[in-house]
Amino acid sequence: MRVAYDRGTLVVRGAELPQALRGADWLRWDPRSRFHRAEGYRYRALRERLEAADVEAEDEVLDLIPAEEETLAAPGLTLRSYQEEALAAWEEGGRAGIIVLPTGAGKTVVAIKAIESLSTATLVVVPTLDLLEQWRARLREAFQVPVGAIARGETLLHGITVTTYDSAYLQAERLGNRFELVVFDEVHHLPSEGYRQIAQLFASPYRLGLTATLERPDGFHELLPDLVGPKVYEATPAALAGDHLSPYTAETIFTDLTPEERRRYEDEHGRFQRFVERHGGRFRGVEGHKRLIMASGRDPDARAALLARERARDVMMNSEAKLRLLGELLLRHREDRVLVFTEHNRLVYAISERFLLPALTHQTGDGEREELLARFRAGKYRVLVTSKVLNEGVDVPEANVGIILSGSGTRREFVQRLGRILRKQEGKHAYLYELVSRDTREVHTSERRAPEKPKAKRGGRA
Amino acid sequence: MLPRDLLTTRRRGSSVTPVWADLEGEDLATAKDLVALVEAHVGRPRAALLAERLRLEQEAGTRFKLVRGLLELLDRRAHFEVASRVDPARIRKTVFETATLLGPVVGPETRAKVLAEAGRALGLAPEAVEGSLYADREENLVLAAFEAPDPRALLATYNLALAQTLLFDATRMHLFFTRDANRLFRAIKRHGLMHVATRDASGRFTLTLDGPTSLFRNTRRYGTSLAKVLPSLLRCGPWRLSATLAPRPEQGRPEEATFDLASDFPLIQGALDEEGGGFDSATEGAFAQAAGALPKPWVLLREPAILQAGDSVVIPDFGFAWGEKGPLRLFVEIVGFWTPEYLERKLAKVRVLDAQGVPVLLLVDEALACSTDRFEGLPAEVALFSGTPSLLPVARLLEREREAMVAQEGERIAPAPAWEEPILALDRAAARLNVQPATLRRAVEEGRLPGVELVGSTLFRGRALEELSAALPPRGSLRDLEEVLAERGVGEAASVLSRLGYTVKWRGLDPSTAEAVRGSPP
Repeated sequence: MRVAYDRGTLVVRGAELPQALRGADWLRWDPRSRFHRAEGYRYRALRERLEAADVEAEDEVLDLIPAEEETLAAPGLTLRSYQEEALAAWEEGGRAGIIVLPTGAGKTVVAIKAIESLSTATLVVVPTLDLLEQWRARLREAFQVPVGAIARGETLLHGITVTTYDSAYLQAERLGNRFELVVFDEVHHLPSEGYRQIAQLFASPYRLGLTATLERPDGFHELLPDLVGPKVYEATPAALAGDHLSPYTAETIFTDLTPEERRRYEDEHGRFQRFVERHGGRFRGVEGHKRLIMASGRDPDARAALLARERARDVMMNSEAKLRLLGELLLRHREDRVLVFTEHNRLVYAISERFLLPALTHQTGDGEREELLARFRAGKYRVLVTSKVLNEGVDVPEANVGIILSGSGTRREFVQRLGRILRKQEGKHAYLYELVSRDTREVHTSERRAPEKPKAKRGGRA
Repeated sequence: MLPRDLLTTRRRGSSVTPVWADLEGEDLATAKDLVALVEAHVGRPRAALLAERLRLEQEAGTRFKLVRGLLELLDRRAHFEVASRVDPARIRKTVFETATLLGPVVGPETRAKVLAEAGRALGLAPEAVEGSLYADREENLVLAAFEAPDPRALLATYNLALAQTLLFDATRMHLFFTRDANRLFRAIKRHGLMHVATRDASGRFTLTLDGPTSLFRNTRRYGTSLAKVLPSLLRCGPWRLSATLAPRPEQGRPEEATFDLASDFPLIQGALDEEGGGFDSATEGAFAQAAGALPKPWVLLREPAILQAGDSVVIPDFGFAWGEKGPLRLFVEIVGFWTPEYLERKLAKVRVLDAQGVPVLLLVDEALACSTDRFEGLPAEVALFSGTPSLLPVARLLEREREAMVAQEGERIAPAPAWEEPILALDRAAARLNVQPATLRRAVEEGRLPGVELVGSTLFRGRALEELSAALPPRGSLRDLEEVLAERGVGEAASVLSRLGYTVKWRGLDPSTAEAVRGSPP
């Protein structure tokens, strides 16, 4: 009997299927190629069955990237107690499971120690290019070996390689048998309809998932035990606050639209509102909004309503009062290291041009991005304006002030933004401001978020 | 292919189609307007075009997706450039550094001061600094060149792109066709699809396409690959496809549906081949361009054949044919990312082919090695390169093949010429003998055809050259002599006149005033 890997699947060749594999419902006869086939991620189960029954099989599934070093060692790193616990829990769970740690609690270090303990071909999958570069730097530093990268059509394979979810999705068939361990950073991305295929097509028997927030609004996190393994460890922000993370103050500041802005807002929002009311409950809420986008492809009224809503949103987000207040905050924190968040690129560039501040978005080129972050860390730039790029993990521990100019109101985004400026640093006190236009839809967004916040001083205008 | 959100569909029972564009009437008017619009924006920033797009989309009402889709296709024929004397990244760096020192910039005075200061450092006026801060952002790029398509062809291309976009949702596709499927099978293999083929008594193929994991679930994973196969189907004579589409409950399609399309569908006639000419990598493109300069009669073909090596298949990137319709004599495969083990496997296949008399050269990019191990003892079938593949090893092997071909063909040339004409062009004679001109040239030069002389690229038999000489006046205008020669079937006069002892006297650069004189000293 011979087992091999074929484009994301396992193929079992041989005259007869051994007893040990009969009854495995994940193994199927493929009439197209005339042998048995299973999805890549069943490799571990397949091997365990064969081993348990002591069946001899030619196993050609893994074709691991040769390691640069016989054993990988990261001697410079020591784990904090909760990191030790997390790693031990993962190892006890058979090296297939998920560790939940708050942003800033050192997930990367846990992963490095996990890689060290296995010393095998490892792929790290991350959501963004920034994280990719950051992981590469950390891994190079820890192990003193070259670290590969797969992104944007470029492939550089090494015993340890970092890639993005997008590239891993596109190249899963080709890469799925070349790594024994896969680390999924921000693993809550994995269960989405496309990305989950990465987990299914890869044969890697060892899997580690890392995240600060496991739950997804769509409930798909329930697939994770099948794709990666169960949650083996969790520490909440509250459990670590004060111990390893900096204290912080959070403040929501309400601003008023100018009379002209108010008129335009009411005008556009009213147009949208009337359309929604005319159609009863059909277009209300998050689901209703999706329906509206769908309908706008066919119905000119729906499209007009959608455009009106976008214009209303532009008015409230770009409000002059908010920008003036941003100026005041920049003056108040002129000695601090400030990150300004907005959700939309257009506003990022408007702020960049008005306040002559460096901007970081998805459009920023690789070289400039690196240079920009380096200058921010070195203090040559004190303020950075950014859209969603920094949501997950770009390391800027020097920042101690965060200003949110618009928010999408989901829990995860807020936790991550907050985490960004909560990185542990001696004697640092962090501030978080959220600027919200009074009497607009933004207020609801902000309120939706509020109950999820960890304990914090809250108040009106300071 | 288009972004998925530019597709609208129509459902009839379980059958789904895109909302097609007409090739005439209002849609044709729209296409004409858009082509003219983009043409009118040459030299202007993209933002202006985007603003126009927004306006046109609003006017288009529910057909705004047509406008956006057509502009998307036109965008692929447009070339944009950064319009700034100084690299905007450098401008930003200077401005932000200055602002950090002088800021925070919360009022117009500080802002003006920063711009002026940065302008001094960059040698730019403050207004230029302000205007070029983000000159490299997509919307600020300037349209430099645009290749306008025929509006009707644009609409047909758009419809084909819609069909491809709908196929993103496909879980499985059935194809029916009769001939010329080589390119199709290559596409199937390249995109990692699986097929089951049947052929009926009348020679008609039925092909079912899906992917390895389709066995376990109806997955859309292979939808993009299925869409990419569509262009290669266009060359399979008459064809028909029937695709199974996954449910899209959020788009009012709770159950599976089907999409059918056939080669005679009127709305895709005349579609432009948008993706046919592309290369898998820039390296391949560079190689193809360089190899185009290799001497005749070699003809470079892309993915020319499917080679059977034991129980696996090799589709080399390139092949060199001895003449347009001649046999393939050398295959070239460009190897990107590799490990020594991978190369060994590849080499084993190449050796199987070589034993069958099919020479394959592997061009291996040194820089893309996936491990630090070197490849020990380079075999003859492998040539390393870094950056751009070198033509030298290819040229060397082609020279060997040329010798072999000339020798092989030369055997077919009998000592007595197989043509009647006293004067005949070399390539026409070669064509009649069914050999390459180079082979015939070699045979004549080696004196293997007694009584035949080659002048330039014209063959003279028996006394033909002397008769020609007698028919020419001892001196005359070059024009007249050329005409006499042309009447007798001599295309290139210069080498024949020189062989007959003429010297051409030029008066300036105008050939109509040049004169040819026999026997006069140079």
